[in-house]
Amino acid sequence: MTNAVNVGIAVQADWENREFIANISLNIRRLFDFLLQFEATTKSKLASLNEKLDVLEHRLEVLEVQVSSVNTAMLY
Amino acid sequence: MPLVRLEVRNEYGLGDPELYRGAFRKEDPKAILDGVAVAGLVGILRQLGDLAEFAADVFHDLHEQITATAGRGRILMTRVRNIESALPSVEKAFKEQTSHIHFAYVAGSDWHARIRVEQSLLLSSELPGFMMDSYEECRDPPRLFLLDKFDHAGTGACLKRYSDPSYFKRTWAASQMQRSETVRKEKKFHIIKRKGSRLRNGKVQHSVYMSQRDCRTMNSDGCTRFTSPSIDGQSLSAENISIADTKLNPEFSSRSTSFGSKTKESYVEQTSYVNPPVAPDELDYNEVPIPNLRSKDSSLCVSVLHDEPTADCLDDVSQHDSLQEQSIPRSSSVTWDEKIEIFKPTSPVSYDDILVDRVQDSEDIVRVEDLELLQVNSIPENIEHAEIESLNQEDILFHPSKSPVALSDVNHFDEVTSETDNYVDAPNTLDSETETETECHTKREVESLSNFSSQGMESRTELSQVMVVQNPNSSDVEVPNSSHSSLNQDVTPDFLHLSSSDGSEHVQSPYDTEFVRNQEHSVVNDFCESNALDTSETKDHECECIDSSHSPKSGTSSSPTMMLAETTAEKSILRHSTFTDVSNAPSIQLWTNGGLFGVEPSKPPEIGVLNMQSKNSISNSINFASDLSSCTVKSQTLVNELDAKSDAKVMQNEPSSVDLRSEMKVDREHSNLDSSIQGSSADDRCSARGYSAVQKSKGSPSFHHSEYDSGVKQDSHGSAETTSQREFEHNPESTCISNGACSSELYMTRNSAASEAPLRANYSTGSRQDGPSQNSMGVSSSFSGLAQRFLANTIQRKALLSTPLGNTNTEIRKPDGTSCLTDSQEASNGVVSQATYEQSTNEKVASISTKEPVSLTSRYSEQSSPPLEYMRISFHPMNGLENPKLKLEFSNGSLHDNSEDFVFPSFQLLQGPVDSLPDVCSDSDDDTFCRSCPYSSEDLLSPRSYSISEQWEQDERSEYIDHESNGVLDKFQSSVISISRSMEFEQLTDSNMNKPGGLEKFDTIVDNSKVPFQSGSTMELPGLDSVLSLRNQQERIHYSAPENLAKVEVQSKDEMPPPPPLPPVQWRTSKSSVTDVTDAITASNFNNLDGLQALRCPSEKKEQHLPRSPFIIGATSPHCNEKQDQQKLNGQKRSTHRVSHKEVDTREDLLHQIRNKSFNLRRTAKSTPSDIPRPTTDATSGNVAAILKKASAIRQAFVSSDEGGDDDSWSDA
Repeated sequence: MTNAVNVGIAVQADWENREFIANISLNIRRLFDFLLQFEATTKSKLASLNEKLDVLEHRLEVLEVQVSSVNTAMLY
Repeated sequence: MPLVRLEVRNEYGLGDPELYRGAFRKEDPKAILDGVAVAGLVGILRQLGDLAEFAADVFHDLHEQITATAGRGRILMTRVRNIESALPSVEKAFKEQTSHIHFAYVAGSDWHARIRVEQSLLLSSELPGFMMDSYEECRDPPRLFLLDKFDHAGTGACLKRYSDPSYFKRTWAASQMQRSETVRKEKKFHIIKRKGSRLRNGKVQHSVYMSQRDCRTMNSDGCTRFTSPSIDGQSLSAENISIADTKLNPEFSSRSTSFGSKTKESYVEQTSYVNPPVAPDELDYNEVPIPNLRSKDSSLCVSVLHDEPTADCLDDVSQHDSLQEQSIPRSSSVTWDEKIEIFKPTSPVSYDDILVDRVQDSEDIVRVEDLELLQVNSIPENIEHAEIESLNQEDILFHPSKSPVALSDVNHFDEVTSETDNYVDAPNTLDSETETETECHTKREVESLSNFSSQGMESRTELSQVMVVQNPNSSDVEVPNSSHSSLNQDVTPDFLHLSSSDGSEHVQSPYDTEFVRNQEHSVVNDFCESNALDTSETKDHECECIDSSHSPKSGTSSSPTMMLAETTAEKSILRHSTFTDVSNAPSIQLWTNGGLFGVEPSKPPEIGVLNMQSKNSISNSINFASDLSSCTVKSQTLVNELDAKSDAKVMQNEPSSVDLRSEMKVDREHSNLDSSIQGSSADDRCSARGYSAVQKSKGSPSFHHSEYDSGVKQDSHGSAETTSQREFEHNPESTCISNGACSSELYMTRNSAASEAPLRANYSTGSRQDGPSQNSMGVSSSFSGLAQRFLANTIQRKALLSTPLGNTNTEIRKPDGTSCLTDSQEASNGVVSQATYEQSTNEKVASISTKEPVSLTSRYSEQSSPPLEYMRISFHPMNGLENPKLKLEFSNGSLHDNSEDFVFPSFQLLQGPVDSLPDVCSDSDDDTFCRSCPYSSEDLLSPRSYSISEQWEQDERSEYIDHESNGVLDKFQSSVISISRSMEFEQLTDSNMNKPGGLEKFDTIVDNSKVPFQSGSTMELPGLDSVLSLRNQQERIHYSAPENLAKVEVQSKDEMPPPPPLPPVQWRTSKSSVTDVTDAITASNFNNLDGLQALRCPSEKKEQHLPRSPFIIGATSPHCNEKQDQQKLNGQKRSTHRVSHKEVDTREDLLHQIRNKSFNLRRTAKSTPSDIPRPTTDATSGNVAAILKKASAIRQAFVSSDEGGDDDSWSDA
């Protein structure tokens, strides 16, 4: 009887442990998920930022050329 | 196969199984369980380790990228600073300058944007780590290189046999090479093909356009100008080609013509549609000669008539002898060759003998005479021969104007080579041939157009001369014909021509056509040589050549018939001698001509082709004309021949022809013409009678077909030919003046006078034709909006109307001379073409107009619909989760930028309550850091059709939202959301505080929510709507709005106020948005209550803050229904009570019964509310009951005020 009770207690404790482990594991997976999503969103935003930077670089390049051309024109 | 970025293994799998395996041996359950638990914990630790590694990887990667981006940004900043520093000096220098003109002379910079090389974007070295890991982890291939020494292929062969990564690359490269090869070949082929067809197409289209334009101008201007006659030729060729296409290829109708003009296409469709029963003409040509014979007869008559007016001139010129006579025989020989080629397509089977004979004749003209004898002997053969020749003649009619161009000849030869081959091949390939031919002809004509302007007069004179040559022959033949001769002798030689041609069609026509062709070639040759020669010389030379070529033929023809006059016989003999002398050399000169252009001259098939087409067209048209004339003479035969439709059309055409004749009879010549026409028609009819009825039946469809064809394809030629006709009038006169001493002056003058008069008549007829055509135009334009088929029918009718007139005109004009037939046809067809063109334009316009409204509506619908979609989309984010963003953007003021452009002036006022919100919710990184937010937004973005029927669900969702707001769901949501919820409540309270002004604004916002919002505003509005919805719900509860109650009434039946199981977060959010939508729909109802709400705001705030507010809503909704019922019934009750009293006391009318019914209904409705509210009130809180009572009291007050009117109405009733 006591053995059975002990086994029952052990099983109950095991279930609790398993639940605890499952919870932690689940949260770890969520962390993974979050990391993945974070990376994705961050990279997408970085990509958009880089695109904007590209545009800015192009414009800046044009501006620089214009300024240089104006400078050269002013020399004459 | 998705690429696995990372695999999170099971925690128990990660744990070492040895941890609990030892416990198995001991069989200690507790130890086993503990071991497993420890293993799980160990696995979790390892998962955490993996997580840390992954996070480090991720952040490292991000860090790299961010540093790179930051570096770029820094560089940009430095560059910007450099520019900023450089600008002031530039500005200063620029402002100091007084004149800036020197900038115009300063060469700009040669700067070019350095476009990045978009290559090697995907390099193996740039593979992400997790993909490189798979490569690193994979095993190496087996060490097959050890076997290389046994392989003859060399080192690495064994490994290649096992795995060859370069295989795909090589295969792909090979396939690409092959592909590129094929593409190159195709391109070459296309280019070669286009080279030939490009000019033709362009010219054809140009000619079509020109002709149409000319037609328009002609119709608009009763008497128009002398346009270049080459246009006439173009138009004629186009006509002939098109007709030939349709005739030869009934299937061609389905295809798109080479012209591509819509009018022609539509016509082709019409033809196919109208003449389905018509058997393919190819079969007719090959098998059944009878329809062809008919057409030949008529065509023969026409051709003879054409030649008449110019014949006088030719006689004058023929006496001149010159060295250039030799060129004539050459041309004749060429024409013979052409003939042969021509015969092949038309009647390859039956005329082989004739062809052979003619081939021989091309070498010897004496044999030509034999051939002619053969023709005379075998009438059917001669008939067909005449048919072909008539075609040739018609070709000549417009060729003389075209032929002079040397360049045209060159092109002609180039193009003809392939065409001849096609013709030789078989008549089956006529489809492509006709197309190519059309192109060739048009091209040639176009070229001749340019050249003809200078040489046009000469060519015309030549033409007239050729015609004159025919006149003596015809007159000789005519002499025996007593009936016709009397009229002809009395009037003019022209009419004699007509009668004679009618009588001796078979014999003369071939000669005439041959003449014409010979003359044409001679003309061509002459013009090739014309650079060195004088125009007058060329004229004389051509005339003589024609005479010589014609004279022997006429002699031969006359000899069998025994009708030759002595004078003509002598002339013919003399000419024959000259001709024979010359005939030996012709081919040589022609070859020399070909050598001049570096092309073999023996490619006249062009002419043959032209003749073919012209033959078809003209024969058809003539058939029609003969049919029409026969109709006028004897309608019975026509009735037999023609269908009911054709009869109707012919009858329509008849009055016009009668009018024409009446006009023509004013002049004696015209009357003679009419008689001659009738005679010719009678002859044609006789010939038609001679054939079987089946042939007649076939002829009738062909008649329709010809009508259609002429209408269709002669459209483009239009008025150009009328101009040529006038030119022709002038030309004979000029020739007569130049050749003043000639004996044929009288004839010439007569001819000119006759031609002028008929021309005028023709013009008048043309103008008449314009009238009906225009009428038909109007009809067509009116019908333009209808289906294409209907349009096609109308167009066909027009064509039928106009074409018969044109045919009658042609018959009348025959004495006028060369191009009368073509001119008249073209004139009529020109009208038709204009009509058709306008029809097409009308069709287009109609289609456009019909399409435009549709398009506009579609646009509007599209424009209007997107807003709806946007509205939905904008409503989607209305979930509570988006509220923080909305608030945030409000605080940031970004809302102004987006919303001001749209409709909300009052939207700014909303800022007040919204601005009060803290910035806690304004994190833009919610989507990145808050996991639930993007999911919810994604779910919400799914399109949902919100209908009133969904209000139940929406209300439920609103309840859920309320639950959320109560903090029940805060567990499941992020802290940000919970904060937003709490802030939402605050916002609600604020909005309630601002009710009088704020509510209206909210309502306006809700009403204006249809306006498409920008991305920023879309996120914002939902929050407002949600707030509004919450407020509305609350208002419903507390104020029991009557209008809302009606809806809530329905909802209450299905609603279960407290939903114990909470749906996932996304669901909740979406439902909230949906409720907002429904609230937006009902928002207008709240405007009425704004005043009341403003009064009760403070008291309601407290109630709103109660956590059970959603439940209250659910519970109160039935109450509201009951209230509504009560409110309705309260008034009804009273009225019904009164009415019932009245009923009992006074009356038992039907009206009372009706009222009774209504009363009963109300009573039942009344009973239910009285019962329901009590349990609900019991179930819900007492606050709700109090609110309900207040609402009912208000409602009753309203109803009582309304009941007075109701009572009055009842009493009145």
